[in-house]
Amino acid sequence: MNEEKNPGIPAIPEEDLPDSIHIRDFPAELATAGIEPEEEPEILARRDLNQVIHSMLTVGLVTTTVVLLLGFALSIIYRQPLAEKASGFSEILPGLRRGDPESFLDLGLLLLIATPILRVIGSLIEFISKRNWRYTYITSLVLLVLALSMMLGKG
Amino acid sequence: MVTILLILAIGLVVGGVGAMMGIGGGILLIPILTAFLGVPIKTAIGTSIVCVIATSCAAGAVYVGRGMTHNRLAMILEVATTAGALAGGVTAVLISPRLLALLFACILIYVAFIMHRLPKEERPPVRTGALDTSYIDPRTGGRVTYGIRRLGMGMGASFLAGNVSGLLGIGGGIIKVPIMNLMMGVPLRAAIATSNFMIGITAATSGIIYYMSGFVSPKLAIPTALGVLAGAQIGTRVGGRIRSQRLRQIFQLLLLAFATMMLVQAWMK
Repeated sequence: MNEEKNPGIPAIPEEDLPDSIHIRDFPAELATAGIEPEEEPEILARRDLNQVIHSMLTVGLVTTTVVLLLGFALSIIYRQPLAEKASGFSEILPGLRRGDPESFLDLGLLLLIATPILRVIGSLIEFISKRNWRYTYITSLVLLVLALSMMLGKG
Repeated sequence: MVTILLILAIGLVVGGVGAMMGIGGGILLIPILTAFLGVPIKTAIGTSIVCVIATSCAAGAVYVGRGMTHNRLAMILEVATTAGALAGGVTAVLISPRLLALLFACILIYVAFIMHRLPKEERPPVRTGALDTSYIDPRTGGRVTYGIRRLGMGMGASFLAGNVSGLLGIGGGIIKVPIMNLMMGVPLRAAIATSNFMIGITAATSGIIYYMSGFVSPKLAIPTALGVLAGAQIGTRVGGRIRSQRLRQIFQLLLLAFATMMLVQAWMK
C-alpha cells in the first residue's frame, strides 16, 4: 500500500492496477456533489463514513455547547465563581440532581474530551458494518494504543 | 469577570488560527497562560488540551461535512503518531528536553525553508492508486482528486513527530501538516483538515489523564472552550476563502514563530 507512483501519471484506471493495492479498501471521502457513476458503491461507503462522523461531531458539539452554556448561565445566576479544580467523576451525577452549576460545567468538559474518542468508535462501528476488515483492524489498533497510553498515564 | 472575558477572547483567536491552519494552538496558549496570567504549567497544559479538542471538534464538523478530511489516512497515521507519543516516554530518559527543543526548532526552520522554495502554485494533485480521495475546493468550487505517495515514509515521520510531541508536550499539528503536504502529496487544505482530526484524538487521551489528575481547571478551561468553539467556526470559513498559496505563507510564518519559541525555551531551561 506504500507503493510510490510516478507523480506525472494522471488517473490510472482501476482495473489496470495490480491486485496487491486493494483499491476497494481505499475508497476516498467524497462530498455529495459530482459523483462519477462507475465509482458509486465506494463513494456511498465513503459518504456513509463521512455522515456518521459528521453527525457524531455535530451531536457532541451541540450537547457540549448547551451543557457548558447552561452551567455558565447557572453560575452567573447563583453568583458562583468558576471553580479552580474540576470535581471527580462520582460527584457529577449528584451535583446535576442538585442543579449545581459546577457539575454542569464539569460534565460539559468531559463530554468535550470524549467527543474525539466517540468519533473513532463511530468510525470503527461503521467499518465493521461495511465489513472493511483492514480499517477495522487499523482503527482498533488506534483505540488500543489510546487505552494503553491512558493506563500508563494514570500510574 | 474581566479575566473570563480576556480568556474567552484568547480562546477565540487561538481557536480561529488553529482551525484555519490544522494545529491545536497549544503552543500559542501555553506561553500566554504561563507568562501573562501566571498559570502553573500543568494547569496551562490541561487548559491547552481542552483548547485542542474544542478546535478539533468544531473545525472537524465543518471539514468532515465538506468531505475534506481524509478519515482513512488520519487513522493510519494516527497508529504511528500515538505509538510515537507512547514511545516518547521511554526516549525521554535518553535525550535532554533542551537538545530536543533545539533539534525541533531546526526542523521547523528547515520545513519553512523548503516551503519557501516550492513553486508558487501547488503541484496539481494526482491519483496514485493508494488511498485515492477527492474533495470540493471551497474557494474554486472544483473537485480535487489526489492519492497518497510515500505512505511508509510518512508513517515513519509521523512516528517521530508523535515521539517529539509526546516529549515536548505539544499536539504536533505543526509537523503533521508539512509531513502530509510535502512528503505525501496531500493538498494543503486536505492536510490541514486531516491534521485537525488527528490532534483531537491524541489530545483526548491526555485530556482524560489531566482531568482525572485535577489539572483541568474549569475557571480557565470553560471560557477557553467557549471561545475556541466560536473561533474555530470563523477560522474554517475564513480559511476556505484564502488561496492555497497565501495559506502556505501564513503556515511558514507560524513555523518560524514556533521555531523561535522553541529556541527561547531551550535557552531558558
